[in-house]
Amino acid sequence: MYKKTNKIKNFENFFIILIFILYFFIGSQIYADYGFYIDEKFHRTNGFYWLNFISDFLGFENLKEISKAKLDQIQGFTLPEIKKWNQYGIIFDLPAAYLEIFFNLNEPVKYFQLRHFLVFSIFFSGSIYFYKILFNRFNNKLISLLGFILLILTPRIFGDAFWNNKDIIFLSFYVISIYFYFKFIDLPTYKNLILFSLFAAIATSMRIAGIFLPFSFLLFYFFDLISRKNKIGINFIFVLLTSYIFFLTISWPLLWVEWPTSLFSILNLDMSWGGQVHFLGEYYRSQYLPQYYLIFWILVSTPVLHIILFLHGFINYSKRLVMRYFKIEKISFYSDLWRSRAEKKDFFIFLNLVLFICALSFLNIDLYNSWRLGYFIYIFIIYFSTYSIYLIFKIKSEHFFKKLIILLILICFLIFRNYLYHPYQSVYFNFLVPEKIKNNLDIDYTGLSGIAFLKEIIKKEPGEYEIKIGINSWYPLWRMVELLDKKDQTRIKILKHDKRGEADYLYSNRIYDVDKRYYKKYDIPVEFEKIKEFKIDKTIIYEMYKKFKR
Amino acid sequence: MKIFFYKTLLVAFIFFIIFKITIGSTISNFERKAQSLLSKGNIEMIKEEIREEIKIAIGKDKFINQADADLINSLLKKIQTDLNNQK
Repeated sequence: MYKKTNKIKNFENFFIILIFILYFFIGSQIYADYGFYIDEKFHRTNGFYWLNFISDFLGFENLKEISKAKLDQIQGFTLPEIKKWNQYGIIFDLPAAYLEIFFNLNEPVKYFQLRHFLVFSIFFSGSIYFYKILFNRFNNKLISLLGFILLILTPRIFGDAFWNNKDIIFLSFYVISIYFYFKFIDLPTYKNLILFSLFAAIATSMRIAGIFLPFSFLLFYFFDLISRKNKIGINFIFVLLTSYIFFLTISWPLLWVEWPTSLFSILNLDMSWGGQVHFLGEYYRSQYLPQYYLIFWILVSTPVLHIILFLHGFINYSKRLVMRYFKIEKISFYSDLWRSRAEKKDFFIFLNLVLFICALSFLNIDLYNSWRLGYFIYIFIIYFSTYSIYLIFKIKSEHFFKKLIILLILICFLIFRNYLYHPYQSVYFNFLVPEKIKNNLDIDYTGLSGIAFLKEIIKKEPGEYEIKIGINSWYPLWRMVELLDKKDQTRIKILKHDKRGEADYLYSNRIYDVDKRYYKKYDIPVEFEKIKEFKIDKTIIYEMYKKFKR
Repeated sequence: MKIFFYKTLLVAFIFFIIFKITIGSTISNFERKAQSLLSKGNIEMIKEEIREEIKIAIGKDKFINQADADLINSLLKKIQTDLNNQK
């Protein structure tokens, strides 16, 4: 049997670490290129609100005063009132607020860029844990590395990893929780269980979907129980539940105030959004989207390579599962839905994927625009893509180098597509999607392009005079003005929607809160003409209109 | 017990999916249409349409044709006569 020498092992480790370092290096060089999204100001407020609360609770007077002063400085007439919307988790916002004070950052661009770097750092850690999950399952460094590369090179994830402080953070903590669950499957110790509880609680504080983690643990405990192959005692369940509730309370200060009523208020949090979602030419309320909405978005915004690998892996695994199902016997140890620990892990991921896809598709859950709320599902997709690579390389091992070269060429194509979209990877569509479909969907729903538009206007209109800008879409462009240079801030005047006819320029990111086909709120005033459509890969990101005197 | 459990789970899951794809989808469509019809945006849109139509009508030299004018005139006279007879 072929045995790897220490030299080869060392080279493999060196190469893997090199890829990690390279990714971190690239990320640390480009994180400042990305735009700023509309909720960042609110989350900064959330950070200072809870920093103030905690410093008051712990008696840190100095920190309390500084955070209060910072909180008072944050203004914005459309900013949600923090006391009413304080149910969001603090695991990102609070450390970000503290670091802003620690590094004494007073310029908006600086402290928002710090947040972007933190999001990237957390995603980077999460992606390393994803590699560890794959290695734990497939026990092959090359296959795990390829899975890791597939994850980080998915353009939407690559782009969001630099600014999305909710979905990407949730995805990262979800990954870490799964890693400790896998470790627990291998070695059921209290340490692994408590670490699983800790990260599951943190994930839950970010997005309520994280509550599925302890539930799936219990479900698998039950599966084991009825298969009579349960090796873990009921004391583990007790530790899981108590530690999960403990960590959830610690990581969510809202629960400190009133427990458990706050928990119920969080679970009942009304997430409905009054706006309209533009989907294939129709306008929908977010909770009444078609059932195929999520699957459609996954298919159009995921690279074709990933989809093909996923389908191959998923179909193969499903076939195996169906065969296992029909062979289930009452007592036999080997006749169950899984035979080995590795298969149990596959089944865990399979169950997560299927249940979440069904829940998000069929239960009228608010998905807002695109599938960003379901980005964490992507780790299950990549898991099965990696499963496919495992089948291709490990099970059918002939033509190893030919297959590897083909895969590397395809990865190079992925890198090119990421480069093409930079810094708008978050609006990526795969090359099979026609232009007509792309432009009949919500694209820049987080408003990343706002700052780029303002900078372009400043460049177009050098001088000292005032530039009036109107907004012809549902977007608070005024939140971006503070990110300009001081002298430019005074030149830009953002007009109210009903005064937009008096503007010199109009901006539209093509996101509307009403059905634009029937409602005239966003009709372009006659004296304006479109002077630019900013497109990437034939996808319109934003539109610029200029007033022409008539 | 084990086989019964797995079979129940599978049947329940398949039933849920079929229900959601067929009846659930129809209910959801009706909900969406009802919500859209009664939404504030829709009511505002209808108001706006009426305003636009009134503006167009005012702008016209003559917006009721002779036949309609005669008909409305006769109707108003009839109403007036009936009202007078009620006294």
